[in-house]
Amino acid sequence: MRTKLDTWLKLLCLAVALVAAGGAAATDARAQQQPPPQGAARLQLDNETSLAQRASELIDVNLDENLLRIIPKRITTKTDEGKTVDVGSIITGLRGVYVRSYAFTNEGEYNEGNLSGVRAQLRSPGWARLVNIVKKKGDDQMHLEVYMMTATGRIDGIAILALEPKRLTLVNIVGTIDLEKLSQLEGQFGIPELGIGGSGGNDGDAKPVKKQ
Amino acid sequence: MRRTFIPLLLVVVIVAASPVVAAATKGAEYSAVVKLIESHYRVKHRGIPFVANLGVKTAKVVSKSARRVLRFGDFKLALFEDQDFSGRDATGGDIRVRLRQTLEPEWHPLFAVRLEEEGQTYTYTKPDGDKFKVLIVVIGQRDATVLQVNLDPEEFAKLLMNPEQQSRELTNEATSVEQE
Repeated sequence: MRTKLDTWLKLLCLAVALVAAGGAAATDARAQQQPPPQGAARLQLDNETSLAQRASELIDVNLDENLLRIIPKRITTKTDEGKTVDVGSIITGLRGVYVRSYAFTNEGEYNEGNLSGVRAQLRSPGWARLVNIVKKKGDDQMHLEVYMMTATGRIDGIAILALEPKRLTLVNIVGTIDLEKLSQLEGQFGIPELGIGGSGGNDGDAKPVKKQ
Repeated sequence: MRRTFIPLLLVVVIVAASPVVAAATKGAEYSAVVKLIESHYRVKHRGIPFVANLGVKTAKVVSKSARRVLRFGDFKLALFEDQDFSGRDATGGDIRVRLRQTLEPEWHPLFAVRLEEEGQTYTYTKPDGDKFKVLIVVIGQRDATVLQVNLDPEEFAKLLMNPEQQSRELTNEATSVEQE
């Protein structure tokens, strides 16, 4: 009886081990699909979950390096105005595009405190503010800040903060990018039109108040 | 002889059954999302069972738009029609957060948009061999759709470049089958 029980137990252990090995292999395969760490140029933008819940509208885009690699390098697209954009050349060197945009019903539904987490990251070594534009005239009030990460001596990432009375937009582009082509990314990959480089939004009233 | 045969048979059955169990759980996320929409908004979906068999129907049944859908391969669609989706927090919490809890980290959250007039769209992706699984949830004021398709790299690249528009186009294309 004892021998029979031992046999059963051994076989049961063998079966469990085999099934567990299969499960472990599957878990390992899933772990390998996780995107690799993208360095300091990648900002954590998800700390403000209360903003997402409070916002009447939101846009959330997460394009990591694995996904960007899938886009063919020789690819063009047309803007709404019919202008051809060489997307392939713009995205070469990019390792991530992340967008968070929140729109609110009323003014004052977000404040600087909601940005403390992002600003703390932008104060870390390597980040420098490139553009700070305050536009206060008319209905299109906006405070636009563009930060650049240059820790390795080249541009490793860009952060854009666009603060409007009823809308807050955060864009984080990780990887090397030609600044002249930055504006061409607007409207692509879910990046909203922010008027960077005069591509829209700014009608001449915007004043660069500080450049670092 | 018989005594050792039965345990051995048991081992074979258990080992052989494990891929079956894995396959059964493969489509679990889609079903979980459909159930989540049902519980969150207290609504009921309508599946389209014939869509799964389109490939074996006669040619005359397979309409132009249906043929377009066939290219999606692994195609799953649930429709919620003429029901109330206006309550954002019918069962508490944000549907976006609950979707994330249901799908991540297995699925990658590519795109989420919530617009007052156009409703909500959530697009998740997952590599699947040389293709990509895409799960799109579109929630309007009175209707909702949960769609899972397989895209080849070329079509997937289009989705990446313009996630909002392409998510809606894929959903429109898939749901137009029903109107044929």
